[in-house]
Amino acid sequence: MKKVQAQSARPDIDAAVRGGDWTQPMDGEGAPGVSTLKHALYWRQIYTDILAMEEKVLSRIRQLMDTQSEEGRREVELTNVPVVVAQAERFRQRLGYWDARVAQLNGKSNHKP
Amino acid sequence: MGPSQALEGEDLATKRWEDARHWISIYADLLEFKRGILARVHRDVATLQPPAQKAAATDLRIIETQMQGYQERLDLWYRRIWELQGLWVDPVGRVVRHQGKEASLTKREFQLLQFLLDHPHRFFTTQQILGQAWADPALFPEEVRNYVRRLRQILVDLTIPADLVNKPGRGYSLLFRAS
Repeated sequence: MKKVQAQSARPDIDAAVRGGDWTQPMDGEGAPGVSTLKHALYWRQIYTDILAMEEKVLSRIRQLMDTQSEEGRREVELTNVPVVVAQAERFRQRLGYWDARVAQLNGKSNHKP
Repeated sequence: MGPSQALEGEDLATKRWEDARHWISIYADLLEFKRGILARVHRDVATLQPPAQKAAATDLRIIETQMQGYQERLDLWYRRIWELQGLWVDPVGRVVRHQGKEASLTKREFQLLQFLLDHPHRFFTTQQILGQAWADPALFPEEVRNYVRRLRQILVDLTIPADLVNKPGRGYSLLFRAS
């Protein structure tokens, strides 16, 4: 699994990007591999919602960047964009785990007599 | 290095006031940009379930820290532009000088001007001015309007290139005039 690598000269941003580590679950999330279908559906919904939010934020950032000076755009590219991209990537990955778990549990229940 | 570090090409020691104006404009734009993003994130986070809200709080913290850094840089550039512009403020004698012109201010006039100069490009409500500039929230809000009017006249008399503006819902702010 490839992790997000922090490359910038800004420790504050590096730390924020590291926060996008997708092995980190949310509080109370637990491991997908041992979850019930209800639990898996709940967390799939949580990640669907938060990923949608991050994508909207990223889209708004890109939209607003057009109004910035060259220096301002560079700063936004260095600060906001990598942080939001890393967060979105983390949520997308976690969503993938829960999607897979829901599919697995649905598959199991479909084979029940 | 903290979030209030200089951007590439930024030199606070510049002797050109146009440079100061340029960086003030960049930081003001960046702050406005972040305010827009912050408002968007606040709106969206409110619709999420509690665990997701907690995770998304990271975004809010990052944006707020960055805004704090930009505000610090903006304050530095404001102080620099006042230096380059030749504005001199004497808190002991409550005298303000600008390019050969001078005015003696009353205690409250001076406190308000000093407060606004110390917090440039930020808006303050009447209540905030009463409490923070004068440390006397018991004063009537009309007093603020009265002193704002008097300060505006002082800015004109000393030809200080700044406007004491009032925006509905945000309050008063001292803004450097771009041209």
